[in-house]
Amino acid sequence: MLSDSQFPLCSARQLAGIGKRGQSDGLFARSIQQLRKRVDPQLAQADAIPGQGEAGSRQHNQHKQNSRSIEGAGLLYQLSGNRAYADFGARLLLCYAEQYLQMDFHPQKNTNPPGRLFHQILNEHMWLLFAALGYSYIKETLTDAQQDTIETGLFQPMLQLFTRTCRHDFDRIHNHGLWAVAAVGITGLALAQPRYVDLAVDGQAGDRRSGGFLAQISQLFSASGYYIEGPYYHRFAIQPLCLFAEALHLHRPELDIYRYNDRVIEKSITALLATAYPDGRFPAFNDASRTMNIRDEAVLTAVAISYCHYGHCDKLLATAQRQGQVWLHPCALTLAERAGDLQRRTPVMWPSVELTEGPHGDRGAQGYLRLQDGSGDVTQVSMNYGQHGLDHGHFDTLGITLFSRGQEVLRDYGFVRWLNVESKFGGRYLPENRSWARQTVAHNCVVVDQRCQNDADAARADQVHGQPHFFVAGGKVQAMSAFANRHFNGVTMQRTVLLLSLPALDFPLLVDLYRLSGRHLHQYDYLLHYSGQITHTNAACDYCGDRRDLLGPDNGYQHLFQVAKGRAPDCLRLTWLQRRSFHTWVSAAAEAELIFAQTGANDPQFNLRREDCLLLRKRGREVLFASAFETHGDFDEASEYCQDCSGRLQTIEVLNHTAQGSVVRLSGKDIDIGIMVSNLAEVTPATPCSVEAGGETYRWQGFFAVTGV
Amino acid sequence: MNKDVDHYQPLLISYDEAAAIGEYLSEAAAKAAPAPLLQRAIAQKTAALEAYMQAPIEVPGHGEAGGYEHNRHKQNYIHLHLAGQLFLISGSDSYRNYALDILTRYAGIYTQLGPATSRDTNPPGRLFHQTLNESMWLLYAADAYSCLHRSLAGDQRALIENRLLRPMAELFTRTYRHDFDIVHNHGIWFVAAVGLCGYAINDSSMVDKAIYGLKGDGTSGGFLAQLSRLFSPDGYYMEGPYYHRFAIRPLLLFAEAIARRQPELGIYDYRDQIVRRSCFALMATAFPDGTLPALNDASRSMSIGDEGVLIANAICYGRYRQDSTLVDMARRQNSVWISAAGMALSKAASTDRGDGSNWGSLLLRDGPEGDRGGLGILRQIDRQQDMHMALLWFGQHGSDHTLHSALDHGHFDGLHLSWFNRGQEVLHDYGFGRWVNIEAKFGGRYVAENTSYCKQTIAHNTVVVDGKSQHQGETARAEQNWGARHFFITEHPDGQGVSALARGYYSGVDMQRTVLLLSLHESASPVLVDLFRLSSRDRHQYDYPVHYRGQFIAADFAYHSCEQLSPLGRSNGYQHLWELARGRIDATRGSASVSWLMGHSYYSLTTALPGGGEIIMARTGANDPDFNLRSEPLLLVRTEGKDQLFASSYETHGHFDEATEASTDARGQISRIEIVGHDQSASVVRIHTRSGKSYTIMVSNQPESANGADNSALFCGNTYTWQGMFSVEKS
Repeated sequence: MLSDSQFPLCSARQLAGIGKRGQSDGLFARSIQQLRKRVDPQLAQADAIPGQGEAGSRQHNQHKQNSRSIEGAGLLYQLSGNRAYADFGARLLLCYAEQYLQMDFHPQKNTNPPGRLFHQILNEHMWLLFAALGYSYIKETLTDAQQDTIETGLFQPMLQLFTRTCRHDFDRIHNHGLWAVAAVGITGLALAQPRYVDLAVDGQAGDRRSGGFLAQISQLFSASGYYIEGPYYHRFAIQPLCLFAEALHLHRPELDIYRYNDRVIEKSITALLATAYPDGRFPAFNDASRTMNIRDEAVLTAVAISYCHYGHCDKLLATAQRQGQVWLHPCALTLAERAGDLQRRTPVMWPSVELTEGPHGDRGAQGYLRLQDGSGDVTQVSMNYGQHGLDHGHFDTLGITLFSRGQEVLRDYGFVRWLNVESKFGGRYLPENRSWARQTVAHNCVVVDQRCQNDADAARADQVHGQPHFFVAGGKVQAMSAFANRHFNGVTMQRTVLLLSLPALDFPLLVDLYRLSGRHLHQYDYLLHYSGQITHTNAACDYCGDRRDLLGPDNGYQHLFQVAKGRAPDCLRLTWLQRRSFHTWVSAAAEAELIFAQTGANDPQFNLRREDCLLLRKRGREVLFASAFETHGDFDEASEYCQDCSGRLQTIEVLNHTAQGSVVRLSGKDIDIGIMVSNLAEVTPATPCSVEAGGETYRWQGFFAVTGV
Repeated sequence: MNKDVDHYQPLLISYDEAAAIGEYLSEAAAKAAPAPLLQRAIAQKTAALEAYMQAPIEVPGHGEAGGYEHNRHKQNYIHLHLAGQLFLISGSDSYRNYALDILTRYAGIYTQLGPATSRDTNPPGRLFHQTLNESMWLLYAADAYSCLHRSLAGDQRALIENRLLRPMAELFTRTYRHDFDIVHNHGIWFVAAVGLCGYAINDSSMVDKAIYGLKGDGTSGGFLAQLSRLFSPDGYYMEGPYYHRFAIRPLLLFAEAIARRQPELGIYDYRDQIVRRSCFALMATAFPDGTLPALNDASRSMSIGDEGVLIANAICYGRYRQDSTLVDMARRQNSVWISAAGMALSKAASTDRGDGSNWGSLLLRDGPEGDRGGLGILRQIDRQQDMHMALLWFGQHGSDHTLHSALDHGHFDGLHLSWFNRGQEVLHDYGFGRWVNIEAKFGGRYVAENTSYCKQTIAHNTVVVDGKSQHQGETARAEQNWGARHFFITEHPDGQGVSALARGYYSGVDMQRTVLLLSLHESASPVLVDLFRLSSRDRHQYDYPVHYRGQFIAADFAYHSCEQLSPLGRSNGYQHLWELARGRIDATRGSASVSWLMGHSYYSLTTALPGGGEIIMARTGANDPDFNLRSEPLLLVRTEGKDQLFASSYETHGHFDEATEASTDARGQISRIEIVGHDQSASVVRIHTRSGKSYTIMVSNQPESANGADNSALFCGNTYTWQGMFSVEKS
């Protein structure tokens, strides 16, 4: 049990041991300096315990900062022995202890119950977790009376709030639930009250199944470690997970937490890191910020824990180097030293990976293909063919994103939320999050009859998932394919994306084959969300120069203005410039209509970013959208340098597509490629396949074949 | 002039200087210290040259601007020049042979090439679509040739001189002689190229044409005429900074060659050191991040890293004064011009840590005599050590209508305001409509929207009267008129201010704009106060545009958002603006506020509308069938009246970092702004803050000389008195 020298996360001796490193160089020292930079300016400030405020308000920010200052100051006290840090933390805690019970609950603004300090109890959990850690570090400097004031005036009431008043929420298997159990468990350790630790570990029923930390980590993640809500909430969930796991590792070694449930913690950390783009940002699947990245504190913690408890891994070292900081904890020491020893900036190259979903890995997957070009740059294409992302889910099954040359080229809008911006609806989710961001049309998907997948009904979407067809990674030809047959009534869909490294091209080529078959005639809209300036197209479109109308009445279309519209040529070529790179989309577009659109319609509060997208519209029963995306050229406005703004790929042609397979051909300067893909769900690597096209029979074996590479 | 071939020296770096540079490089290489700027510059160029030399030399035919052939010719002269220069410094024969090879290859074909095809009013060269590029080719080839000269045999020299350099120079002095003497940035390139060629091949009559013009009078054309007429006495260049940095490169290269070959001309002292003034004027207009204000036709990303500005800095340091602002500039440029002067600057940058000096606030007069308005720049460093800059433009029109239309780069932008802080241009100038060198975008040339939008008054942060552009959008009219300074004050207890007048830009309307950077107690950053006053006998519609970027955050008034978009007007640039939303501000309310988020910072505009009016939210992109315009937002404050004062405050506040999910102070401190009164003699406005304080700002509209130190104004029965041209009173 908690002895005098044991804090929830480590021992006093360990902390004193690493405190000296603050003076030296290296990642660890830099991280201590970062912490001092954050905490030191607070020491001189008057103790500010504000009242209540909205998310993003001054009060909200101040409370948030105060708990982090209590924790940071406590840690710095242990690292440096400087009593001023401890006194500062004590003052703040005593102030809160005096005022906490005098504060009323916030008025409830959303489905989360409110706290006393914050508008939602989640923030109160976070507050408690960090304040309790801070308290544990400075406890030795407090008199018994002071300890009593803090514990009875602040921590006990908070524990009561979480485990009694809001007990219905405590066992919820959800990222909020993880924060609740971690906060209660860590506070239990800090106060030496084991029953709270038990409650946090085993759940209220004590069965380790209906609630508690063990249930959370067993049920929140799929067998591959993927978190159903996507990377943005995954990184949010992983912080309490890691902190409490480390505490249990120290104080409940008998649980062997790092080996628990087939090393679910390791899998979860690895799965999170493996979703990141080459620049360290996380793809904004489901409700997500587009800027969240591996420098987030949660990821620092996760990387340190993974390196310490699961052993050396080059990619973790490279990640730590890119993070430029480490978690301030004894378990990050080796990581910091080794990452600091890396001579050169090492690119983080996670391999291509398919992260399966569902507890048994049978509810679809998230696929990530990665290819490195000659310069070391990594191109990544991601495809979602897994489950609906719970309450934060978007209706974007078979959606893809493309990252090339340091930027997201085919992008995900992410959430509609100006996080913590008080003057934007208190920083909360905005109505356009539902009406736009979650809709199928807001993604690089195909929309059938201008509707939304599963009619935007989350309960229905929860019942279905994508079906992996094949995933072939490694080498210069990579591909993944999946089906989604229960997302639009009466329409089955298959998307196959290939990432090819070709000698004729400087950067990997993305080929996208999206096939739909419906019993009836449908309108199919193939969406591309790009950013930048159109530089060329061979489509003759009527530019809506004098009037911009809505693209449709609902399902997200009401947020799109029609910018231009026209009949697409049989082989469409369209190039845009995004910063220094040109991107050319080549698509088989016979009988199709091309629409240029921009977000911003029906957006009276200017909640949406104004962004551009393209729709390729076809009508039919069975349709194959065959496209390729070439990254090329170089543009630098400042030096007025431009080269290769046209690209090499000229045409893409669908030779045929049937229930058996699809055959397409790509050609251009020094490019002549044939692609054959099996469309049969039951195909195996040994299945002989064939498709007739133009009097010829194309034969291949297994999932797919590419010729001419 | 030195005709003795034995004493032949390369044009820009003497043999002794080359040896000294070589020595400096070996010393630097031996030290563990970080590589000095010159060493890095040379290493970078050497690597570029080595990489280019891997491919066989290719001399293509004609092509479009930005096309493959165009780029290849351009890369050929760039690397030819590098090879010559690096041969001079390193003595490496492979560089010499490579340069010789390129010169020989071009000499073999040049005279057989017919003219290329021009797609605008510029005449074509033999290699390029316009002679401008040909002159650049010639200039760099001439300098490269001078580096090789001593190593070449007689027949090699004869081939290069007679089959390449001389015919190329004659393209300018004979074929297109009517263009040779134009006083314009192209003209400087022409004379510099011909002048350097003359020195390189020791042809003094060619040099004389370049210096004194084809007539030889030194006033109708030639380098001296260019120096006399293109720049104001303060060194401001009439087309603005973007073309200034382009013109200054040949100017300085030719000046340096003249100083070496004909020191008796005293070129660096010519016209009261106009070369120095011109360099300083250019460097001093740069925004704190080093980009140059995009006045007139201009790229928004051109910066002090441009070769022309590198040369300017080195030459000022080498020829005029060793000053720590220049050293600091070199550090920010992170490079130096490869030259003896660049070496001196590089040495200084390695040792002198600088005193954080900056270019400060300044006023640049425009016009050859300095009497055609000008440009006021206010710079201020805030408590967070962030540099703020406000630029008020009131000079002459940026082009000469007698030149062919492709050289018409002026915008109708009198009294335009640009504002910069937190590393970004907050109130910005759209710049040009051009995707420079992107062949797929109209061959990289100016697009039609440059004329229909970018040049128009509405595309700038300046008031538009009756929906029309200044001077009716006519260059010839605009040239006849310019603004005038009212005051420029940098030493003041409350901040800094600049005020200017523009009369006759709109017939029957007088305009005055006063821009103040004030330090208010409530605000950590200086507040920009903008008082734009219009007076007329007749009633007009006045539109006050605010070109911002980023996400609109909030407004304190109700507005109607459009369900379908239509253009805001039919002409004068309005046809390119979509109306997104419109809010009516009634007179009882009198003040309106909007805030937006740009990058990591929030901004709030509070503007007074005592007579009521409208605020229109708009966005560029209407009538843009080829997607030539960037899609950008703007606000328009619209009102009608005879005498009107647009009184606005702009606050910089808070911090937003989405990645760490941090946001502070998303709301500004100013709650409203009130106009106490305004007339011919004074403007008095009052800013109210959320904390209940108010600041009364009093500005004199009378000429500085006509009123002593004391000012007073009577508005609504109250008398306001203050000293000086403006004053701020807190209550």
